[in-house]
Amino acid sequence: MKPCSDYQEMLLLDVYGELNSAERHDWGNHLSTCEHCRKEKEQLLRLLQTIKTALPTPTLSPDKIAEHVRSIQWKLREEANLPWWRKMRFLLPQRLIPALTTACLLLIIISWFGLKEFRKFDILSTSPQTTSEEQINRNDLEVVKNLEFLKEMEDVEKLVKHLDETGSQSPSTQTENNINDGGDDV
Amino acid sequence: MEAETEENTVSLLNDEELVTRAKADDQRAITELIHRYQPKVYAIAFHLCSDESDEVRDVTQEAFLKAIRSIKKFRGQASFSTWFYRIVVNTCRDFLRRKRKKERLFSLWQGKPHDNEVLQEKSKEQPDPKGHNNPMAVFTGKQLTHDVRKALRALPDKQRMVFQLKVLNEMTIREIAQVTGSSEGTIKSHLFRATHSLRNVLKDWVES
Repeated sequence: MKPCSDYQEMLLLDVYGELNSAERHDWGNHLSTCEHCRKEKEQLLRLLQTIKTALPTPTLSPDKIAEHVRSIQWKLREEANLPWWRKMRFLLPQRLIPALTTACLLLIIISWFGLKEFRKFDILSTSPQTTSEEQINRNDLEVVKNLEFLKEMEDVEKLVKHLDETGSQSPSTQTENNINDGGDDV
Repeated sequence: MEAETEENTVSLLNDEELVTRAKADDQRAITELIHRYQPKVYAIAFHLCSDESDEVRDVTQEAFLKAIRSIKKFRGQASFSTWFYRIVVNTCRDFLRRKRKKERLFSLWQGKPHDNEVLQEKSKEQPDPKGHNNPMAVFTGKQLTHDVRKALRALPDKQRMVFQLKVLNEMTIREIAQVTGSSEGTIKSHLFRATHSLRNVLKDWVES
């Protein structure tokens, strides 16, 4: 048995008590003439009653209500005493917390490995250059530092050379001198 | 004596006045709001989320805490009850989402309990609504509860929520539309579809 298709919405709205006065009047007129719709309405009302009977709404005793109120107040006091950084989580939507935590963890992992790779790259490519540059700089510095010393060395070398020259010349000269001296002595 | 008079005064205030006081951190106003809404919120959470009292208490508490934390953001564009019930419904949705995730996770290594086991477990938890002493009537009552629960669980989430808010929590279509943030037409559509589905599934109970 099916209700009239034109009145189907009205039937359901009537069952749920949602008809306005004009609709109720129109629907009432139809109901008085249509047995199908009357039976359908009865069955739907029975369905709703059956469901309500099967799932009764629980009633809380005053003691239970007081207990709940106390636990909520206790929670509120506890929250008020939390440090600011722990209160931050209440400002964020609960659903975002796992996503944000995952994002933070990923960021830490990526930056950790990225830093490691960067260091490796740094050691492989840039550090030999740096050491050679450093060495060059150090050598230059030494050269600069020892420039005066080198000049002195040059002087010393010249002196040695001169002495060598004079040294190689001196025995003959000495003998010559001696001869001359001896000659004179003789 | 003075405190008692103040308490009586607070209980006479309407929601808007209580909210104004609660925004200024008046603890008496907050307590009065909790007292006033506790039974209704408990009933909504009971039907939408769970039939286990501990879980319902936790959901109720979470909804109240969320509302009190953000009461300063309430601008009064809708009534306080609508604003608050929206928080309650969203808290229930979040709870169900978390619960389903957990269930899915556990069902990976634990076999799903058989329907009869569920029925037995639920029968233990649920007090007999009519207080029958007749074993046959008790069994019939339990069987009916089981069948109705099963039929409701089989509905799509939105249809089930709208149906429960309408039939079990006795809200109007307009209230449900405001609470869920949908149009009245959408709510009607969900409600009518749910009614047709339930009627087909519970045909034997209705016609007998």
